[in-house]
Amino acid sequence: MSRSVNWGIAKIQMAARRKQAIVAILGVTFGVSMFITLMSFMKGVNHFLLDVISSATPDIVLYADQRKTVQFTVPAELNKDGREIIFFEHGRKPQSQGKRIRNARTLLSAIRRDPVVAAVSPVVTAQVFLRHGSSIANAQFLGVSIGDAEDVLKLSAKLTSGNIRNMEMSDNGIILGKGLADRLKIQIGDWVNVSTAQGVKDRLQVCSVICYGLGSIDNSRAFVHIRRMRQWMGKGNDFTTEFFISLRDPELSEFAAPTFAGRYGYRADTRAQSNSYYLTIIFVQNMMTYIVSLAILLVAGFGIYNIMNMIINGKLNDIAILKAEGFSGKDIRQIFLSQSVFVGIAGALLGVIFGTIFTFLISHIPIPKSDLTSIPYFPVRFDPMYCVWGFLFGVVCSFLAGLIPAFRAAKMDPLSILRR
Amino acid sequence: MNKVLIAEHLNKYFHEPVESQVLHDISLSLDRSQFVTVMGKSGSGKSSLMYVLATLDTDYDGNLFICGERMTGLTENQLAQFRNRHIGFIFQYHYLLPEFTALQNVMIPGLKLKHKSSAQVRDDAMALLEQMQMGKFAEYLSSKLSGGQQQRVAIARALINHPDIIMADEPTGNLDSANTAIIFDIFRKLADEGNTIIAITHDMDFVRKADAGFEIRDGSLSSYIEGAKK
Repeated sequence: MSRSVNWGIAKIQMAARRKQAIVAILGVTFGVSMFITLMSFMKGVNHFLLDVISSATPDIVLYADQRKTVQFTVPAELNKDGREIIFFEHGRKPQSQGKRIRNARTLLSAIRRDPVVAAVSPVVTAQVFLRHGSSIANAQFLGVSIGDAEDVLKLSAKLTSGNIRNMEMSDNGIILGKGLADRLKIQIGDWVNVSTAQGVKDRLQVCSVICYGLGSIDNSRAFVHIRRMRQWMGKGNDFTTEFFISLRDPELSEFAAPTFAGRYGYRADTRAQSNSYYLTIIFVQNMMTYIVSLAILLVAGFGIYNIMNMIINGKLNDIAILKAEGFSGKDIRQIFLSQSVFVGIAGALLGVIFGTIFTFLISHIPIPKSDLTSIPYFPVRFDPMYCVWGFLFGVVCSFLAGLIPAFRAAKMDPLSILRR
Repeated sequence: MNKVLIAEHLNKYFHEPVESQVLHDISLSLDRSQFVTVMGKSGSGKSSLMYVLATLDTDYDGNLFICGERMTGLTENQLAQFRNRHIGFIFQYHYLLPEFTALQNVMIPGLKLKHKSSAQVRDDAMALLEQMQMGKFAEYLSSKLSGGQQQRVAIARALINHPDIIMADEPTGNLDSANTAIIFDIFRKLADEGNTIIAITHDMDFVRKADAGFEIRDGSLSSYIEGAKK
């Protein structure tokens, strides 16, 4: 009952200071809605990037490491000034051209038999020039056997035109990344000239166009038959530069990769390792989002703190008489704290509503057409949990911000006010 | 138990800006239905005495009993509860909550006490306002009333819980003579109705209306003036 008297007083005081209350509420609303919007947006972008990564790279890549870094040490006693010198020689020139995997055939069957492996695809990669009319482009060619590649990378899910069967049937087919196809102004069925680093020239027919949505992949990747690549390079039919491996349980890749590396004597990168660039972006993006959201809520909290302090400074007389009339410190604290909590709840509720609206609006903003991505709208993933978190953050921040002023009011000595 | 208030050997010191004694060994007692005034010049310590008697100031030596209960040594919350139930306050300044109507201001201490339903408190408050001739202003915001009206609302507020003792600190200090006369009459009437009142004032007219008067000089209760009416 005493609570209802306190709440009644708090309510009437709030109503009398409607403008200040609205400003405080809007502060929280802004913080919470931005939190929800930013989180949804961030999750959307992350999800998009992760989706691209997981469809463009296999769980594990097994390959011969060419990046040899050699370290020499010149001992101190051989040096004039008596200091030890360490040299690093990076990117040492490999002795024979090509970073091939030896005994690929036995390796392939060994990997196939491995119970954790779902599918494996031998791959030959090379940089190849493409020419169509006057348009020239440089591409990363992945020579694969289409059936295996389909098992590992699920190519057909990302094809925008043509189908995987055409490619399987055709002996001289090529699947082009969408960016490449656009740059070469090429369409399905067109023929494209290729020339390899070894100077071999050939003509291939475009069977399908593949689109991951991320420019850096779509602008450079093309799939061809692995036997064609081997022919160009003049290698035998077990020549392989990499194995793309997909696991029955992708979660196990962290453990499986070092095992493969040890067992087969080649370097094995997990998807996270081969895409550390994107994962770094995602990490930085997460941090930024959290920091910005928290900063906004913090500022809203300071707003409440200020406004509550102002209200209390203007209410010294009221506090004094309430205390003289028999209201305890606890009652006074309740009166002012409930105002902060009201601001918090109202602001957070509005924030949830506006956050949802903003998120919806962002998901309908078209992305200007560019080389970077080929998705039509800003990627957004809305999760009701963000609303719950945003709401809680908003209320807790307001509560904390109101705590200090409320305690100050509760501790105020009525005498010091009455004496004036 | 006929003594509503007993103060024994009250001593009070100010520590700031310099150590000084404000109240010197003050002892006094108040009978039920007695109307006494405490007179004194500005700086004589009369307000300090009032705050000690009102239990608002706990920083004193000596003993204070109200309605037979020892006030000295109670916690702030206990004192707050006690004041709510037993003491009605009227200050020089009205201290009405400006966002509330006259009626709400009167009701608040009653709602806080919770001895009655809010409908009953409302009826009581309305009756008190009528008694102060403020009935037609009940729904006015207190900040919209004149000084004399505000003081009358403050008196009604002091009476809402039927306090055992009414404490007034220069209740007419801010008012013109017409309003002062009205307030005097109200006090006299309250006293006649059997309320126990202790009022601080420096107005001799007010003292004459009371049953008895103390004078406080340099922190000591130095004389006792028999009131005109008894």
